[in-house]
Amino acid sequence: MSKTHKTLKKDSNKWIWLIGMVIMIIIILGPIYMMFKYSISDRASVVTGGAVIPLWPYQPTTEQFGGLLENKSFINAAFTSLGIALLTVCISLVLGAPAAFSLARYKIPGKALIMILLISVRLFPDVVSVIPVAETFIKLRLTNNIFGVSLAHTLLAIPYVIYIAMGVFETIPKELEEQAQILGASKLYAFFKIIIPIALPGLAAAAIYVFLLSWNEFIFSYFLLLFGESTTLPVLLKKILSWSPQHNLLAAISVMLSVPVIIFTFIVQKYMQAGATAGAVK
Amino acid sequence: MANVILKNVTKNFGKFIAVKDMNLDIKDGKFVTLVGPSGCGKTTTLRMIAGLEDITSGELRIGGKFSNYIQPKDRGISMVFQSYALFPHMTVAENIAFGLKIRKVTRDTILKKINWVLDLLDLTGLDSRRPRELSGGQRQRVALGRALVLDPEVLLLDEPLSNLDAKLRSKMRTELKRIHRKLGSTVVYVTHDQVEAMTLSDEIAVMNKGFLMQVGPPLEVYDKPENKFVAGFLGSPPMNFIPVDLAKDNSKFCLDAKDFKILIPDLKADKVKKNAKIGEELVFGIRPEDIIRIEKAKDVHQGNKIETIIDVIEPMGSELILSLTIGKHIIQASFVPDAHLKVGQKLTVVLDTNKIHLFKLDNEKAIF
Repeated sequence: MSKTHKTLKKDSNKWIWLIGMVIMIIIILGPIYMMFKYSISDRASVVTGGAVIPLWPYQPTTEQFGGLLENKSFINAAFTSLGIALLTVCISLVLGAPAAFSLARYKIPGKALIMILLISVRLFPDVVSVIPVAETFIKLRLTNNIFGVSLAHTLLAIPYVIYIAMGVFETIPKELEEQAQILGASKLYAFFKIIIPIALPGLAAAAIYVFLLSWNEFIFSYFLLLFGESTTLPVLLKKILSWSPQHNLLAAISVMLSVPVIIFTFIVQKYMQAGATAGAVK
Repeated sequence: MANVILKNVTKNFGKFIAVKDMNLDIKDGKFVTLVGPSGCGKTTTLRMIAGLEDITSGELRIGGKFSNYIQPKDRGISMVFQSYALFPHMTVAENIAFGLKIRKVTRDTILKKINWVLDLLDLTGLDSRRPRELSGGQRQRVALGRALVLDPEVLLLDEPLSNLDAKLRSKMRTELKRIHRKLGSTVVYVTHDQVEAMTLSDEIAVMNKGFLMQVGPPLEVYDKPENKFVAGFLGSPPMNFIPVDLAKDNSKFCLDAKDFKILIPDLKADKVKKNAKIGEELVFGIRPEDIIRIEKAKDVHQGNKIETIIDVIEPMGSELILSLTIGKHIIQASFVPDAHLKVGQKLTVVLDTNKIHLFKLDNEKAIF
């Protein structure tokens, strides 16, 4: 190949990569942008699709957001979802972390069986597993309240918490606990003062995952709050969908749905510093 | 300060016996080293003294108290791990204060003790740093400081110097000796490095495959090894071992190595008579530094002339290590540096008859 031919080939490779990247970005960000665009669209833009190229509404407005924030049932649903999500994070971490620690550190007979049983809950579609859970919860009077739904979400989230936390605890050297023991710490003291602070990044990741899982959860929230007065945001969204509302309202609700998750992630991110065990052991 | 006594201590891990029937008496204030190759049971023994491992059978007494079932924190011990085990999310000061805080010592006392230990170990100014911001040597000293600040009766050190580079290691060896002299604590030290063992200890306990092979002051264990293992383990370069047959030359005992003969001095003849028969196969041992060039030998050594050929010369700077061939045997000798020695050259040497060793073949016990 001549020199110019080689250079041309390199350049054309570059261009192909560039075009490919642009296409990927459009595919990923496109829907998100469209959702955002619709949420700030006025009625005219919704009907006709916006300006000449449907990329921007005629007159961007925040009237949809305003309307939602004034809507009582929307606000209630939002707070219900938030309460359930935060409660679920707390319960699943409080139950899951110590369990994961024992599984990581001790030789428990039948550990493999326990691990499989933990995962087995998630092997069934939610639609199937909600039936026995709802039945049991009705008998235990756990329906139609936030605590019951959180408990059900914990059931779904705990396998992930345990698996993630186990992985984290296994990377913490046992010698740190032995040293703490020699220095006079009880097992509990060592757990809270040494193990948890070091495991924080991993537990923070698990917390974000659990929040996301609970915030977006539909089926258990729907059935367990069916005859009550409160509902969660995903359930509310489904109800609204049944009236075939305008695109701009739907888009606004979707944007509102994603905001708390982003905020929660930002808050928890600061605990996820790399190198948590740096310098502990050589 | 307390003494530590192990009586018939044994440790099993299932079928594997890690420590077999160990008897050791560590006196108050002494620095005792457990030394031996990897897997010999020295760390397991240390962990049993600490309380991190159960004692399968036998008795452990710390300060006279039966301690088999006492919690580590109540045994009056402090331990430094080979990996330091510093708490990564805490500062140096918090690491050092950890044990004191648990004992509910007052804030003022804690600050005083932290400053004392920072000064002792040359760590002043580093109190608010985290472990990841420290060098290896600094981390090691913080780990040591964390142990010392609790005024332990017995200080347990598990290969604390093995992660340091050679220069830092020798510096810290001197530091450890100085601190021991200053504080007078009872120290149990574990290492596989026999140089550390020799230089630091009041007593060395040599272990192999779970057994205690010999215990005593460093020079005694070095000069008078009770068995072939201890003889070959201490000393660098190690002792030369040559298979020999016990024979008689006129009326004296001698050792027949096929390519050369060694006369046994009269002083040792009784021991030989009691422990071996003529014609029996034995193992002869001589340290490289006890092989003397004929030019430098005194009259009394003349009886054991050996003709050798120089095979390899290793200049160490302060000494010369030579590999000498005698027929089929190769021995190592250590001489004062001499640029005139060349490979292939013939060299006549003499053995220091006061320093020769003889071992039985079956149980490897020393005859002398």
